[in-house]
Amino acid sequence: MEARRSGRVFEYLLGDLSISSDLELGLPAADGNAGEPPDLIVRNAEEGWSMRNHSGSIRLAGGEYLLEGGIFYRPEPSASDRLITRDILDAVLPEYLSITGRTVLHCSVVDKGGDAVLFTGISGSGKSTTALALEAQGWRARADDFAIITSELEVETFGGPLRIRDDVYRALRPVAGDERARGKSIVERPWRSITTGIGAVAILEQGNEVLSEEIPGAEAFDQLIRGCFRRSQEEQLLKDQIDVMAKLVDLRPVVRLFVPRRLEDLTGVAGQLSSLLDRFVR
Amino acid sequence: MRYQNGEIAPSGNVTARPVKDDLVLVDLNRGEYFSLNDTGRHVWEELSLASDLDDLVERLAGRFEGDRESIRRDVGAIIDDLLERRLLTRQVPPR
Repeated sequence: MEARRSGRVFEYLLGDLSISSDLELGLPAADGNAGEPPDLIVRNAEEGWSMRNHSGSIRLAGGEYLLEGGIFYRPEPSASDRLITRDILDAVLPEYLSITGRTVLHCSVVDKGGDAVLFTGISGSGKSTTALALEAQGWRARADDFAIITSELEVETFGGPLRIRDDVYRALRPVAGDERARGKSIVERPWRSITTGIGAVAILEQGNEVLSEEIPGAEAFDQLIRGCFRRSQEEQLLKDQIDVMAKLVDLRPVVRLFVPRRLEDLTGVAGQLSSLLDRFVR
Repeated sequence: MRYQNGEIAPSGNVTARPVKDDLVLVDLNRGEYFSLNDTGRHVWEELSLASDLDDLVERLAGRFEGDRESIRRDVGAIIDDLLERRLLTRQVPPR
C-alpha cells in the first residue's frame, strides 16, 4: 500500500473520508479521486499553516482540528506520524462520519463470518483486549474503537490498526498471528472494511466470571447513546442517530457482559466467552 | 392541552422514541435523556390528544386501576415533573 502522491501532497482515502496531507501518514492511498476537494486537510504547522479561528478548534493528543466549512487538522510540530494518525482515526474520522449523518458507536467489533457482536463500554473496559482474545476461538476482531451502525442494523467497520497495550499485545502475540507490530502497541492489519448484521451489543464490565445479563430498554438506550459520537448541530441528523440507537435496542439483545479484567484470566475463559456469544450470532 | 392556567405541549427540542416497554425522551438541546415507564408513556401519548386534565383522566381511566381522583392526582404529578424538567412547556395566554 503506497500513498498516492501528487507533487508534495499525499492523498489518502479512509472509508468515506478523503484526506490531503503534506505528511506521510501510513493510511490507505486514494484511488482515483484526484481533482476532488478533500474532506480533511492535514497540514504541518511548520509549513506555514495557520488556523483561521483558534477559538473554535478542538484539542487532540497530537494537534488540533477545526470544523468550519471543512475539516482542517494541524499537528503539533513535535507530534509523531503515529500520534497524528491516531488523532485522525480516533477523533477526526468518527466526528466527520457523525457530522455527515452516520451513527458512530464507540465499540470494538468481532465476527465469525456472520453477524457481529459489538463490545462497548467506558475506556479501559477491555473492548480491544476482549475482541483480540476471542481470535483464538475463531472470531475475528474487525474494529477496536468505533464502527458505523446503519438504519438496517448493520455494522460497518474500516479495518485498520488495532490498538492494544504493549503487555497485552505480547501476551496475545501467538493469537494475533500474522500481523506485525508497529510501534509498541499497534497491531497492523490489511485495511479492509466489512459490513455485516449485528447479532448483539455487549456492554463490558469487570467480573470474576463470564456472565451476561439483559439490560432494560431505557438503560440500554442510555448506555449506547452515551457511547455515540454526536457533534452534529443539525436536529434531523441527531434525530436519525437517535432512531438508529432506539431501533438497535428495540430489535437486538443488549447485554451487560462481565469479563475478567486481568489478561491471563480473560484468555483462560475465552472459550466460555465464545460459547456464550455464539448464541447471539447467525 | 389546557392545564392549570395555560396550554401545555411537548417541548419543541424534545424527541420521543419507544424503546422496548419504555418511552425515551431526548432533549436535543441539552443532550439529556429521560425514560418514561408504562404509566408515563401513556400520559405522554395521550396528553397531545386530550383537551384538558379531565379529558386526559377519562382517556387513561380504562388503563389504570384506581378511582378517577387518584388517577388525576398521579397524572398531575407526572405532568408537573415533566414541566419541571422542561420536557413539557406551558404557555400562559396574555390577560
